[in-house]
Amino acid sequence: MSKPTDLVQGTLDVLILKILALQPLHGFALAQRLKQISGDVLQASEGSLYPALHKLEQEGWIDAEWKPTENNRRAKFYSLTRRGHRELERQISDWTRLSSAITHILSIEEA
Amino acid sequence: MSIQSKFKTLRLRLRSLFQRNRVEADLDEEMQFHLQSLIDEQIGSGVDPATARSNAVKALGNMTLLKEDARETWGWTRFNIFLQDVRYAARTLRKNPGFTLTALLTLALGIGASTAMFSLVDSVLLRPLSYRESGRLVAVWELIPLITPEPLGPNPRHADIFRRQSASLSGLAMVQQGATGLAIGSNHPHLVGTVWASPTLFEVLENPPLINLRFVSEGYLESSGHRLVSGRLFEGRGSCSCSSSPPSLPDFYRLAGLPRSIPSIPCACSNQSTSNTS
Repeated sequence: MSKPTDLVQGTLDVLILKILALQPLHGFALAQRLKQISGDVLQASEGSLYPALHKLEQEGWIDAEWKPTENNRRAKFYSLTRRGHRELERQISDWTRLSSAITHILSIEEA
Repeated sequence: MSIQSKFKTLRLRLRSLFQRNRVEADLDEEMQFHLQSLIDEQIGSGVDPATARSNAVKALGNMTLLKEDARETWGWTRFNIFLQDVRYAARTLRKNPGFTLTALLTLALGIGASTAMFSLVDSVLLRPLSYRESGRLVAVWELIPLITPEPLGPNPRHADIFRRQSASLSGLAMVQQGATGLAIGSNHPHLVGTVWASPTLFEVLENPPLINLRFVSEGYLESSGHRLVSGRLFEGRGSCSCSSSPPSLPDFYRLAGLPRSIPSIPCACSNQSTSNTS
């Protein structure tokens, strides 16, 4: 499986869910937003979004719908489902717990 | 997972199975839209179209690989690989008729042989005999290696001793198998299996003949005149059928060349036997 970076492997899903929680977006807009927010996380390949999006759709966390864009072109818009919202909350709390544990360990001062 | 979301997931799965081309086209269109948007963005910022395109392709990544990854998330990957293998196999078989024929013959012979073997094992070993409590039937024979390595034929004196002294046998019948020529009516004779047996055979098998002749249990060897013919022998020979119409048997048959008459008896169906004396 192609992966943008090892860091993203575990976090891309939660980033997508978080951005889609704000508003429904198509893949390109989602990539733009990700770039804006997270800098070069997706630098390796913007296309990595699509396998991730399809996986989230299969899980039932996001819905997809073909709609016209502002330029009147057809694009597939993704939006968060109710289960997606619950999953996002779960992943956020997981992430918070993990990152605070890591922060705690890293902040231990050497004797 | 609620029923509604389960239903949704199932619908997605089925769609990616039965409307594969449609789903593939959607994925393609989706990624093309992304590519085109990247190109437009670059051109908008003053890059020449050719460079814009090459930059966009670079930014999007390996489309073939990404599509492959997306397909994997739809499920059915193994199933589709299997289908591909089947199609490939079918094409290969069509291209090599010689190999196909050999493979088919090998399979046919292999399956046929094992089926035949199983039918034999099933009827001889697995299926119970069509007698009541057939599991309690045993065959006993005498083996005296000093005389002959073959089993000895039935010995009435020994059988009598067995019957009197055995505590585990409820009945005993002497049986010897053989074969003889049988001609029904004026037909050509053909070889049929015969069984020479003591009259107790029907008690032991708990399967009385259709017409129960009074066998004399004492001195039956001396009388030796009772003959039973299986109703099946006459079935399908135009003379007896298992219909309600009164059966008509030929009025005589020849056993080992000797003519015998058949008394007026009802026709037997199934495994039961008809009997007659001569």
